[in-house]
Amino acid sequence: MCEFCDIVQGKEQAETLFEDEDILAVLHLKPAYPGQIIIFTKEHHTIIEQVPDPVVQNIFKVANKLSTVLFETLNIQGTNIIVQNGTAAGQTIPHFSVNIIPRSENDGLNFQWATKQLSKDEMETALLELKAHTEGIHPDMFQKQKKTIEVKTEEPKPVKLDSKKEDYLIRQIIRIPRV
Amino acid sequence: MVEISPQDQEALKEKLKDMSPEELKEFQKKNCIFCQIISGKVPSQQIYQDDKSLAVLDINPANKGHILLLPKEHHSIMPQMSEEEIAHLFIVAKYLSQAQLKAFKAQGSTIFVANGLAAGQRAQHFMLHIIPRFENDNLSVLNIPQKQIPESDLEKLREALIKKINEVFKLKKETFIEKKTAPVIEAPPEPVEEKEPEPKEEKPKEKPKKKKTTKKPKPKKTEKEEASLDDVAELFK
Repeated sequence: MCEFCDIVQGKEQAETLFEDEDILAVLHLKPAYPGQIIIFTKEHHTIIEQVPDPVVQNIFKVANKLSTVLFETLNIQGTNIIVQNGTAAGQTIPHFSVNIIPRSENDGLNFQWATKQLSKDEMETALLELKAHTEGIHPDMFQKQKKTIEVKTEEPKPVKLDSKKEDYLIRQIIRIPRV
Repeated sequence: MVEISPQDQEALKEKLKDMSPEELKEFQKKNCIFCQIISGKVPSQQIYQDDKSLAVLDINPANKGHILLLPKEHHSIMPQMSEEEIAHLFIVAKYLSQAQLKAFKAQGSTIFVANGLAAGQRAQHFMLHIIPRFENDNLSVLNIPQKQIPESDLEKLREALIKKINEVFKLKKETFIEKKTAPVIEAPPEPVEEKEPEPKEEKPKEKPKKKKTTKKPKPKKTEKEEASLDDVAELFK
């Protein structure tokens, strides 16, 4: 019944780009931007909270590499990595996945949300509520990664943004964020 | 902070041209508000931190409880980060998302990364946005539009990408990904068996083809917490 499980089982055709023991990466057939990649776990998990830590690590390492591949292959100036976790977040297939969307200037896409103005009190409450649930989080509880990863780690490669690279860095600095 | 005048921009460009990548990074760091948040020079509402990462509340949130998760090391974009850092950040993101679901009874979360100005990146410090989501929260802007493209384009894209992928992942010739052909009758792809996981590591050995996957309990404690997560997963039904 699950589209991604069908792809894993070979019942559904897909433009497969990468595969290892945990995950599968395919081209999105109806991309927001041509070259959009979708990575999902081979095992059926609905939301990220259900995905074992080592698989989470693996999937995002691969996401980063594939993002680099998009940079180096397509004439793009950016990528978005988006996880829609739950129907309220726009998730349509009940199987955890990561989207990598290539981006270029004036590509007609816009994920820029409107900000909500919260009062100081509301922010304070949100902080307390969250902290009550984050106090127990500690790196020691993260499940260790498997030693035998199929894909060898390597030094992060600098992304070539062509001539735009220099400009990009400069613009990054000029556009000092207003916080 | 202030906008920079065109003259200053020119001067800045000149200055940056002569800098080594290391100097450039130092320069960026000095001018980075998020580095100042990390060092404590700028106050923030901290939610979580460890040796590699810091999570703070976004003061301009998309929703109440919107978290910014920052690597403590300054990086502009994700490809500049080491794999260890990336792996660590996203594990933390998983647990922070879980905390949001519990704290706000959120019905989901969006984990959002923008690499580059064209992708809507506004800060020069790489970060993850973790946004709690609710039904009808007016954030449909975060939905990913779907566009029809010709199948021939997909084929071309795949060919171009696969070459680079094999290079980047340094795949051996035999492991080159072959295109999946339509209905295969043989068994679904099996993971390579020689690779034994660490003995102490309990890895679900269940194969995905079994419809009823045993859900691995999260390393969290009470059943009540489990329930709230299951509720989110249940929303699909």
